[in-house]
Amino acid sequence: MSDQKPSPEAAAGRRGKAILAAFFLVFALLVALIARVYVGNLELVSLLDAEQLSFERNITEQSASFNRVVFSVTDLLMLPLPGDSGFGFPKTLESAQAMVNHARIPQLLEPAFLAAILGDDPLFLAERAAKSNERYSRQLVELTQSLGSTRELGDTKAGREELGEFLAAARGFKDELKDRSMLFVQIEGAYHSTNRKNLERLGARLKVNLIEFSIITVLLLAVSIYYFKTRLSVERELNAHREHLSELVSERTQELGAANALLRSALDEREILIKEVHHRVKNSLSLVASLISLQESEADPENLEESFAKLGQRINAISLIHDKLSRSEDLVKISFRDYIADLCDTLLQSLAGGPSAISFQLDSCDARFSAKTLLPLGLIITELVMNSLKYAFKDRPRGLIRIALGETAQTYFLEVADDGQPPSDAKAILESSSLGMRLVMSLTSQVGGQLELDLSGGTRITIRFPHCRGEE
Amino acid sequence: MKTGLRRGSCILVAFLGVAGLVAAADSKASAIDSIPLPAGLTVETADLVIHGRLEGGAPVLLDLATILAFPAQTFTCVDAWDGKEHKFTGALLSDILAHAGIDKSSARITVAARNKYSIPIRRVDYEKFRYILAWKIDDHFFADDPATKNRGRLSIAIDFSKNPELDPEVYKHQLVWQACDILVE
Repeated sequence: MSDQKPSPEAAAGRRGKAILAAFFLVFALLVALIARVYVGNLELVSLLDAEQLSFERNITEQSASFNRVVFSVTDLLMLPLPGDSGFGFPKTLESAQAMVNHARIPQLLEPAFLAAILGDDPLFLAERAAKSNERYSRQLVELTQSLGSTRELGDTKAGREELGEFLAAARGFKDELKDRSMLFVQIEGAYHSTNRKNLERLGARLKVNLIEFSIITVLLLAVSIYYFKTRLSVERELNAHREHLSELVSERTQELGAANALLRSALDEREILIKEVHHRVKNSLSLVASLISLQESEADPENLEESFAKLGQRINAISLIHDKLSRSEDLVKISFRDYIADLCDTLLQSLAGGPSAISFQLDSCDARFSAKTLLPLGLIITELVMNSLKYAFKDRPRGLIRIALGETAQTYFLEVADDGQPPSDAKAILESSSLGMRLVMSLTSQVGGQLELDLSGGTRITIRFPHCRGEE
Repeated sequence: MKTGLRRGSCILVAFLGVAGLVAAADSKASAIDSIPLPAGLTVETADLVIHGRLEGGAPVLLDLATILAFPAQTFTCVDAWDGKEHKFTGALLSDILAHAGIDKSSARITVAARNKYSIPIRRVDYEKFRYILAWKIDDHFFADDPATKNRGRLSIAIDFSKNPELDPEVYKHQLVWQACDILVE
């Protein structure tokens, strides 16, 4: 089971996508709501328009036709009656025919149409229209039949009587027209009332819609603000992460650069060291070769063993240098104290058969020298110690060899002293042509030092050499 | 103890209040019941003829004096015909019809005028909206003022001010002037 946590960028990205999806979902819902409301309003308006148009066309046509019928009945009833002076049968018959023709034309009010238009019908208009239509039709049939009979009878007495009856029926028809006129007025009133109610309903609906739209707008605005705010926050977070990453990369790059520089420096150093080591080895081997050559020139054929022993000690001093160099931290500098302590141990081990209780005392400051300086110092000490071991303690069972290294502001002073029998002539020592002494003098010169000899209370040789040479 | 007394007093007051209302209703009913139907009237001489679905079957003929004996109702509202505010006084149409013995299953009436105008009225409407058969307008009888003489002796009036849900454009057609005939259907 992995316990890896998602990266902040991935989490922020997912959150951003979720918010975007929610935003679009809300937006789509709101658009659907707006569309629904809009379509509903359109339907209502178109329905009202259609109803109004239909009703107005119907009522206008019927009113016009109705007026023609009323006028024709009025015209007819204003004519002189049969028996009155001025009565004219043909003219009255013609007027009666015109009235019947006009009365046939109007389309009767349709109760079903009225019921659909008026809705609540407290005046029973649809029912009354139906009854009125029935009466109207019945009377029209009677008038038509009476007119037909009159026309068949012609301008006779019977014909005039029939015409009289027709005119009486026409008066009744006129009363029916009055009722019908009133019905028209009431229908119009009811229609306008219904229409007004519908308009009020539409107005209320539009008011609700306005509120809905306001709410939707506010919602959209709120959602948009929230979305963009969140988006901004996510962007800010991502930017912060990017900046943080950039800083990390920069830091890592700097660290890598520093490490590379260190490595390069170490490589360079290593390269220099290798060269130095080779150089040192070459020098050491040259030195060894020189020592062998010198030893050869001075070798006593009867005492070769001692010569080789001395040579061995000198070579050992050189070898010890390389050993210490290989163990040193920087492969360049060697602790003087460590080196001399080991060197003295080695020299002591070579004393098989020599004085049994010779001890070394090492007093040294904390100095570190390069092989170039330490090798001459080591050889000087080797020569001086070997010399002490050979001559100072001949008749003494015990002795002390003291090796000290001190320093002043500008110089080191190396002191090698023993408490044994000093030689009688100091000058002879200094001017001796022995290999050991020549080596000491030569090596002292190599480190830029000066040698002093003190034979009071033993042999004490002090070599002073400058700092700059010693620290190289 | 005090709480018990207070509760008892409240119950007593409530009982008396209810009893008072019942008594008032009874007294009104008994007042209407005690109105005698006039004798010797004919359809021609009567001021109002009620016929159709009546419990007694026979038409009920009423004169103005009898109608005036009914408890009078008064209200002020804008008249839908002249657009002016008037004070109307008359008897509840439902009281008169109840006194005439209207059939309980009747759903409407048709009020006709002397000028042949007629209009149906739903029972729920005239009972709910307390239609009155008015005899006075602005404290005088219709016939006493030439401006209102054409409204006849009796006229239907509706209190539009108390019933705003009634559209005057429609219901004004039920304000029958010269009302003289009620057909119970």
